Amino acid sequence: MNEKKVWIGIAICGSLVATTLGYFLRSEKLSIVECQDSVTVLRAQIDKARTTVRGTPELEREVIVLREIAERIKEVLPDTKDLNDLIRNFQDYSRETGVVPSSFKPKDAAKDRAKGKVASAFEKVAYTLTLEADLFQYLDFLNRIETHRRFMSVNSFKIDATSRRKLEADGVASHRIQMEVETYKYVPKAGDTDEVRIEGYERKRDLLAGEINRRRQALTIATYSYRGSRGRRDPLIDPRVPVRVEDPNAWTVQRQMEEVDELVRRVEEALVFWGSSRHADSVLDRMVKRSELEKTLAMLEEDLRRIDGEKKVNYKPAETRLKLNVVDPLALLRKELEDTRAVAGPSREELEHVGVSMERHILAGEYEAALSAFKALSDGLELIQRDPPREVLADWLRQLAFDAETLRDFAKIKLSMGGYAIIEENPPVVIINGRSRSIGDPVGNDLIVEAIRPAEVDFIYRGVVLTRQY
Amino acid sequence: MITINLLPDEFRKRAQTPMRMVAAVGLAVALNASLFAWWSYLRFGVLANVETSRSVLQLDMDGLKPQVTYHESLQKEITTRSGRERTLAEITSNRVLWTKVVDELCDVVHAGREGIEHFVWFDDIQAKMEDAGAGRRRSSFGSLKASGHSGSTAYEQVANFLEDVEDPTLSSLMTALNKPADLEAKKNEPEEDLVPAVNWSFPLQLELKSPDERNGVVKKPIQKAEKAPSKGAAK
Repeated sequence: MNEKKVWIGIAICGSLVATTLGYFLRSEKLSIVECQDSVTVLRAQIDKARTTVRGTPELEREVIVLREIAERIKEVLPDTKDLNDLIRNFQDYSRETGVVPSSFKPKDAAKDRAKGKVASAFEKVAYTLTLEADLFQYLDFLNRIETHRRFMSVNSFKIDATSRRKLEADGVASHRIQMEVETYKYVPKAGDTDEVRIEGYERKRDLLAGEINRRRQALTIATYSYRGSRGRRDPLIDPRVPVRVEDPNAWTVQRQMEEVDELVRRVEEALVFWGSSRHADSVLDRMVKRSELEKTLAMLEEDLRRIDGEKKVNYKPAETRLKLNVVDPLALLRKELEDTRAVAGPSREELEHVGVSMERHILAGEYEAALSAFKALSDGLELIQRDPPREVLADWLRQLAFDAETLRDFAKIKLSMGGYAIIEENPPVVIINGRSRSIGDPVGNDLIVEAIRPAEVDFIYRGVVLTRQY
Repeated sequence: MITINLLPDEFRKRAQTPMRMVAAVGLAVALNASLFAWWSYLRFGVLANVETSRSVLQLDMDGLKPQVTYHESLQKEITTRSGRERTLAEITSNRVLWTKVVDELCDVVHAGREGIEHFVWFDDIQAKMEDAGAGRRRSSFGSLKASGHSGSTAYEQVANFLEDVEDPTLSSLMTALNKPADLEAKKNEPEEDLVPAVNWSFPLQLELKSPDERNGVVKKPIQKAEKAPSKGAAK
């Protein structure tokens, strides 16, 4: 092999080895760069994850608070099922407040959805109600809606005042009202109710009690305490009165309405009383209630005569109301009362029942109770004529009343009894009120000693022999 | 020409590898050995070190992943739940308690003492709230309107009534409503069979305030940047 070939061999071998090593070096360099890049990415990811995880306790606290106030939120914005009760609530409220509903219809919520006005998980439900009521009845109705435990909002309303002519005819204001009530129902999406498990939930919740309470308080819906008309006039009623001779003592419209309202209330009470007296459990109760009712009616009639005589009520709506709600029902009630009294008087059963209860009271020493039972019936006894069986019972009751009265009065007489002496062939003697008395001696008015026995003395009192023990 | 060495063996020069070749081979070997050493350094030194770091970091990351997943689940639950609370807060803040507003309007009417200050009644009352979704820059949030009558020959009583509407000692109407529109009134035909015979018709129009104003949220005025003190300003 010549030298040239050797040189060539050396050069080729050297280059080949160097190239191979160079390739390896490049590969390693690339691997290192790649590895360093991934390290950089990992570091960034770890930093980000650490930053994220640092906020986890805060999120846990927020989740716990939100879970704990979820029930309160659900009360205010419930799920679909409670919505069915809404109409029932309207019905109850209109009954309680005297509002007369004439229509209700749901408002189309689809339009609102299309306009994107509704929050995603909540769907607005709106109803348009048409009612008739005076302003204060409407305010009461409105207040019940606005203070309902479910969130409800009145978006709009329009009240058209009743006409003067209609008011004069009806006597009560019935304004035409249209209102739009809206609420929301919760429409949960899939996965909305999934709960993440939090370690040591109860302990963490207890530590957050203050925050939970604060957030619950913040969810309380503002309400207003409506306290009725409070003597104010309805501003939707034309308050002008007809022209008349100037009278400095004339009642204002407000006063006239108030006075009529008061009379209406009293008539309603009397009607309720009349109803309860007709359905009383016992005859005695019925008699007592009837007697009370007589007094109430007499007072009402007296007030009506006064108002009528002085022409105090001249505001047409008040006048109409007075006639429709006071004068007419009162006349009807009076007639019913008179009719039932004139035709029947106390029945035989009533008389027997009262007699038995009087006897029972007398035996128990309850003389006052026996007398009040008789008093409830006594006026009616005069009506019993040409009815021998009831006349006998009436006489029996009168006798019982007399007995009860005598016994009551005798029991009230204070007698100080001292010693006594009963000796054969001598008249017996007893010390009464510090003086010695014998048989036939008077002791005060209407009281005469009848007999003296050991530890008891008989007296004659109002023609009846009564014994006093000592 | 052919050169022939005729010297006996003991006198001939011994055959040797040339120095240049030895040097060249040595250089090649040294170069390749250096490259190999460098490769070894990279392979077993630098790369191994970086890979170790990566493994450690990957372990760290694997440990953090469940915590991140937990965090994301919490975040998701918060988003779901707080939506309900936010909506509730929004709709309650937008609501107007009309019972209070109308009740207080009755108070104001009553405060007229049946003609001493004013003697007012209405033909109708209308209330309307504009939809909350209409954005903050809307011009109106709603209104309370009424067609009023003042039963008096003195038309100043209409002004008395509007003054009473604004009077905070009589009602808190102005916390929810803006001041009434400018006063205007029209005298109606006298009705001689009624007392008072004369009455003036007037419109009552009160615009609703924004929810923030109604709820007493005071907006801070934007403060202008303070001017730099002049050079000659006393310290």
